[in-house]
Amino acid sequence: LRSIERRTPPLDMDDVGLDDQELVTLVGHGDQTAFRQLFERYAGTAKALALRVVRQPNLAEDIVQEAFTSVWRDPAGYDPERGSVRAWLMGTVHHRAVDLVRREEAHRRRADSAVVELREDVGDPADDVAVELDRPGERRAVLEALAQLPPEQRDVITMMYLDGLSQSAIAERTGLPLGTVKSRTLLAMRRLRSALGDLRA
Amino acid sequence: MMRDHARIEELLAVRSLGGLDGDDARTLDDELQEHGPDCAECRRLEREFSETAAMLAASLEPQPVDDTIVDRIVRSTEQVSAGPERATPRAAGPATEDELTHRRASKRRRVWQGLIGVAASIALIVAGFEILTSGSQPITSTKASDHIVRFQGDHGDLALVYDPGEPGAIVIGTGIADPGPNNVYELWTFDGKTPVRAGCMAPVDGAMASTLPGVTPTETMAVTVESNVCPDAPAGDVAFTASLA
Repeated sequence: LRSIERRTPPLDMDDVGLDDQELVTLVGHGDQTAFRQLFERYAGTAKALALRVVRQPNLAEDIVQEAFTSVWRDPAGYDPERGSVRAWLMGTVHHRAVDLVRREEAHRRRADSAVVELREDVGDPADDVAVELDRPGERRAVLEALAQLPPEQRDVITMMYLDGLSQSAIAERTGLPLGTVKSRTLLAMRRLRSALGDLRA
Repeated sequence: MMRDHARIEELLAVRSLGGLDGDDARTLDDELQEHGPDCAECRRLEREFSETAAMLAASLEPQPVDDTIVDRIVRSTEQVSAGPERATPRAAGPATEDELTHRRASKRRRVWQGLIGVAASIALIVAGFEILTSGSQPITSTKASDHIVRFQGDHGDLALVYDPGEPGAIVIGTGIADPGPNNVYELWTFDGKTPVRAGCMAPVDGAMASTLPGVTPTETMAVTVESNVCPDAPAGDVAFTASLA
C-alpha cells in the first residue's frame, strides 16, 4: 500500500542530493527510501550523543530507535520555523537521553561504563580529527570551536550537554554559584554560535 | 518598544543544552509566554541556540548503529495496519493526492483509530495482547501480570499499562484532544509531593500509544498540557489524573 501511495517514485537520494527538509517531507508521504537516507545521515551521530550521555550502548540504541520511530510516525513534529532537521533530531535524542539518566541517576555510570571506551572529545581535540569518517570538516570546526573556549566555559558546556547534568547539578558538583554556571553557559554559547555560524543549517 | 531579552537569552542558552531546571524552567516559560508566540527575537534566540547545541553532537565520533532498526521501525507500522495516517511535515505544501489516494488515507485513519481503540478497550479487560507503541520497542507485549490504570479527565480516554516490579510502562489513549500548537501531554509521577517528569507524548489523530521505558508508576500520577520542550516541572493545565489506590 505504501508504495502505491507515494507521491514520488523511488529515488536514489544520494544521486539527487535532497536536503534534510526535503527528506522529511518525503517521509511525511511514507517514503521509506527517504527515511533510510535520513537514518544513514544522522543515526551514527545520534547514537554517539546518546551513548555519551547514558553511557550504555543498549540504552543509547534504544534512544536512537525511539527518536527515529517518532520521525517515521510523526514527521509533522518537525517545524522548520524552529530550526533545522538536525537540530530537531539531535534535540530529540538529547532530551530523551538526559531524561533517562536523570530518572536513573542512582544507577548512572555503573560498571559497564568501563566497557565503553569513551573518548574525552574536548580534552585534546587534535587527537580526534583524524578518525572522523563523517563530515570531517564540520567535526574539525566544532572541535576547534570548543578548544577555543576558556576552559571554565568549556567545562560547563561539556558537563551540561555531553554529561547530561542540569545547571543545579553542575553548581553542586563544582561549588560554583548557580548564577555563574548560567553566565558561563551563555558566554560559551554566544562564542560557539558565532564560531559555528557558517556551519549551521 | 524593544523588549528586554537578556534573561530569556541566558535561560534559552541553558535550556538548549538540556540544563535548565527548577524555578528557572518556570521563569523561562513565563517570560516566553509574556513575549508571546510572535516574538521574533525570542524565536531567533531559540532557533540559534538549538542549532548551536545540535552542532556539539558533531564533536563526537559517529557510532555504528544496528541497521535493522530502520526495518523494525517500518515493519512495526505495517504490522498494526496498512500504515497509520501520516501527518505530513509543516514544510509540505498542499496535498496533491488524487481522490483514490485520499480515500485510502481516510480509510487508513479509520483503521488506525479503530485498532488503537480496540487495543485500549481490550487492555482494560484482558491481558496478553500486543499493541503498537512509539517507544524503544516498536511492538510491546503485555503479560497477565500487567496492571492497567485508567486516567480521569475530560481530554479523552487514557490508560497506563505496567508490570509491578518491572520498570517501564505503556500509555495508550483514544479520542485525545489536540493539546494545541507546540504543546504536548506530559506525564508526571510523584516522589512524595514532588512531581517527577515521566515523559512527553502527543496524539496523532486523537490516538496515543507510547512506551516509557524508565517510568515506575506511583500512587498518584498526572498528565498536564505543556510546551513541547517538556519542562522539568509542571506549568500547564492538568488534563488527566490517576491513582493506584
